[in-house]
Amino acid sequence: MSSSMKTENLQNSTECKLTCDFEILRRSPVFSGIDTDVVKLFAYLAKRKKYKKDQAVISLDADAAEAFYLISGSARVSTLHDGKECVLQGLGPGTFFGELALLARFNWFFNVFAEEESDIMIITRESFKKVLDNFPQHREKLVEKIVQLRVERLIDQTSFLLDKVPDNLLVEGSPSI
Amino acid sequence: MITKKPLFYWILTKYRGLQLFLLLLIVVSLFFKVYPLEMQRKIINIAINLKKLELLYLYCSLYIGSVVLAGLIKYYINVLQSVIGQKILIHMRRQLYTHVLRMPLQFFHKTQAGIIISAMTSELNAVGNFLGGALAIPVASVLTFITFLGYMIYLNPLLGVMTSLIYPFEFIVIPLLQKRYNILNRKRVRTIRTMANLVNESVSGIHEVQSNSSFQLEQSKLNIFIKKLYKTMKGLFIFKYGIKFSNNFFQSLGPFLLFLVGGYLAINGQFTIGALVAFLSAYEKVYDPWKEIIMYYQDYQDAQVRYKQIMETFDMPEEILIDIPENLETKTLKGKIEARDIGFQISEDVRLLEEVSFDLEAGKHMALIGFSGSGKSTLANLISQLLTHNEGTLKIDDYNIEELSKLDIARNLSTVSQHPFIFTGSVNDNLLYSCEALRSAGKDIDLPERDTVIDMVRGVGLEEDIIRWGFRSIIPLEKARGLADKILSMRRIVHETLRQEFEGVVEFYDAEAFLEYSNIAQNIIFGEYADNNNSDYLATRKRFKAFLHNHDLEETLLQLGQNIADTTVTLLRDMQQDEFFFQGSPMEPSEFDLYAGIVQKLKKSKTNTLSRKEKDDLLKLALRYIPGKHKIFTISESLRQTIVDVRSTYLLNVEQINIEQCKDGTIQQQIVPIKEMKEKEQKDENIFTPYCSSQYLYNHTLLANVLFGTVIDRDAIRTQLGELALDHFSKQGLLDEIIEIGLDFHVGSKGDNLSGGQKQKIALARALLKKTPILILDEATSGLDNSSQTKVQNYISDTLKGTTTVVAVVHRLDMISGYDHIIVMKAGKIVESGTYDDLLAAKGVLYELINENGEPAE
Repeated sequence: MSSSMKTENLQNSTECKLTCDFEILRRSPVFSGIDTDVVKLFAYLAKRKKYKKDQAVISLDADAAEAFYLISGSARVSTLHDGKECVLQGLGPGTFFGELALLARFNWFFNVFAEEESDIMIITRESFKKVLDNFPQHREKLVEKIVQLRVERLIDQTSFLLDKVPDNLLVEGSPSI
Repeated sequence: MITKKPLFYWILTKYRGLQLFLLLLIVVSLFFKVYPLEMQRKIINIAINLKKLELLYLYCSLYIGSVVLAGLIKYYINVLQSVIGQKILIHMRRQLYTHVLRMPLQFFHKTQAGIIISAMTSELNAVGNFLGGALAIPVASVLTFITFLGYMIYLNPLLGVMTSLIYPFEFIVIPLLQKRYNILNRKRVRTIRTMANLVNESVSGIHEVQSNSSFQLEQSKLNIFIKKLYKTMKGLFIFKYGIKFSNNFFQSLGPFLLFLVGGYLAINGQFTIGALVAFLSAYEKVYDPWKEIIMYYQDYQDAQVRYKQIMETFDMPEEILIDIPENLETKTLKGKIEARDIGFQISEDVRLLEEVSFDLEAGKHMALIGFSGSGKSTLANLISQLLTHNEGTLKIDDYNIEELSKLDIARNLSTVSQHPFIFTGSVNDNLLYSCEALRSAGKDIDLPERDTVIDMVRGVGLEEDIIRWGFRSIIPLEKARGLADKILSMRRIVHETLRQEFEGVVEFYDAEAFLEYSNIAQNIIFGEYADNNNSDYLATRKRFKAFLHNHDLEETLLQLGQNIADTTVTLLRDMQQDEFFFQGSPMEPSEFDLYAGIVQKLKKSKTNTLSRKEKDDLLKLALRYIPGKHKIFTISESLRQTIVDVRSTYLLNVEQINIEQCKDGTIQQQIVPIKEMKEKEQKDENIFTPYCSSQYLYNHTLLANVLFGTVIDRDAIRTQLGELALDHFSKQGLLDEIIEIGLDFHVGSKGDNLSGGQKQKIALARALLKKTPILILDEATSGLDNSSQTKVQNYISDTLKGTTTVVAVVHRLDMISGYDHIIVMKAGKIVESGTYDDLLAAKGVLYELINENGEPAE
């Protein structure tokens, strides 16, 4: 076989993992508009993992050290209240969750379970810190995006919950649950 | 007692025969030292004067003969001296160590380890060197001195007497200087001891030092003493050589007088030249024994000072009867303990215990609880005979505790302290320590059987740890052979019964599949060489590269290496310092520049312009590449297939293995016979093991051999799957050997490889294995998690009730309900005493303690 054919064999038949993940991140809400080099590094350092149905992705009270991006499949966010599991939100493909773990240390205050077989990308706080140590100019923008994302999701979660509350219990100005 | 014995006790009582022989030798050598002098005189006065050639030859040969003989004898004397010294030192060391080990606890509280170590080792050494010649030298030197002096007076009385008058002066000056030297010597010893202590402290507390970053502080602490030592040593040398100088000065006075007076006499014909020469020689020869006497004096002073300081350090009486007279047996006690008004104080105003009284029948269990500093541990130590009370009586089985020898106590009582000491060695060594101790003391108890040890390990909750250690061990091939079928059974369980659960957690070695989590090299050869770094090793092997070339893989892999190098260098060009970023590439951070250079070169020219080494470097990258881990590049499906296809050829051609044996997946019963292995080892060949499911991986842990695949998810193995697998294994009775292997786990220096909880469990098992009638526990479970604590407490309550007297210092109030008797202490006194129910009903201190802590009273 000639070397040129071999080169083709190497690169065309399989999608390059690095490129693939890079594309995914580039289109995601948090990383769109960020420098290519930086996104490439994040893609390089990110891991992919497959979760089975009802497998825990995030466990309550565990050390929060990673952020997750749902590539395919679905998941639910829930907490334990009075010993019962309460679903706070459903997550579909293309959503980030656990993003706050990139910014600070704390213990998870909710659970995330996979609703079906899901493919998830994981970015660790350590890689976040290390990449931004080398590109400090992007930190502010990324942090801003992460916070905005969190706010958006909080709004979603709240309306999801409030939809479930019968109208007569919703009194203006006082917490009803 | 050893510390009261003077230095010369050792010399006068040990090896007297040898010392006498030494003395004899010295006297004999004396003759051969004087004889050459005579020869000298005769050579000059007779042979040369009278021009008699034959006599010249005769006298010269006699001269050289006696000189050589004298030299040989002296050589032998020196060796013998040192040997005697070291032999005496052996006795001294042994007896001193025995004494040290039996000293009361207070000694160890106030003496630092550094002093003890320094005294036992280096300081004693110096004394030993003196001991050998301690008797022989002075005697011989004095004799020699007198002999030579006598000879000189024989030659010429006037001159002889004159020269000998010089010596009395030295008798005055030298001791003066020596006194100062002694003072400095003592100072030196003290300084070195302090330094040893400082170093010992900072090393024992290195955890604190490093976490506080107190390097400067510790440094400056030691600096003070380093400087002090320097000053002292300087002073020492000044005096030492001062003594030498004064000696030399007085010495040169001699010849001066000699030449002056002797020459005058010779000029006047009253003295022959020959006699002058002989006199001079004799004078010089007299200097030797004199010098020896001086040196001896100095050494003696030195040794005396050191000896005194060593003995002073350990001068404390051994408080307890250690060995009993031969006709008495060690007592076997039942375990009844009686205390009356016990008081204990460590100094004038610090009283740790006051008026402590209680009665405990044999077989009953007593809990000691109380506030911190209440004296609970002190009381426990008193009962264990580790401390001695100052007031009151303490009786075990109606014997006063002072009457019991250490051996009686060891035979009948086991202690577990809160922070147990774990010795360097295996887990098994530590578990059997107490039993071994009794055995070597001459008590014929049998060491516990393996099964008993294993049961005890289960009882204290150490089983899981031991199994884990067992799996982590790498066992030698002979042992592995014995376990072959067990290992293969476990492997079968993982690969077949639990295959689904392990899917995604372990990547099994499958001859027909490409291994995503092994590197390219391992994928090609479908196995590994014993010398771990397979990829780099193979990249330099001609045979392997020839194989690649013949199967059209060389170019492909070079290209792969080039691509990896290119992508890595581009992506990580600004991050080459941080090894964190190299996790996704087979390149090492230190190799960045190397590959950057190659990439640069390739931009301008083609692959075939690269040197042999550069090609090998690129090949290395390709061979190290692990698809599941190295994200930097992705290889094609067809390359994967090509590699899988070439496997069988490699195995057949290069290693003579038929891959069909590997394919069907049935696990066979065979492991490569040991004989073959041993031969290969001797030839220093790199042993190859294919990933066929009936093989044993040389130099890998047991766990790796059971899983027989690459671990993808380490956490899952550690937790649920680990438990699942162990469950299956134990049902098949496969774990017993693993436990045995785990027992051989090396705990590290002083138990470094163990957690606090593990240490406590071992200490507990150790004590329980001795099966004594009395058990003392001093917060012995404080380092364990709640369920383990309960487990141990239940074991004690169930197994030891009625058979063993237990005194336990307990800190968890919810664990005391099972005890027969409870004592509450505060500030060294007993404030409450009685049964659990009685004390609760009385609503006193115990009641309040329990309710305060929110523990539910049963």
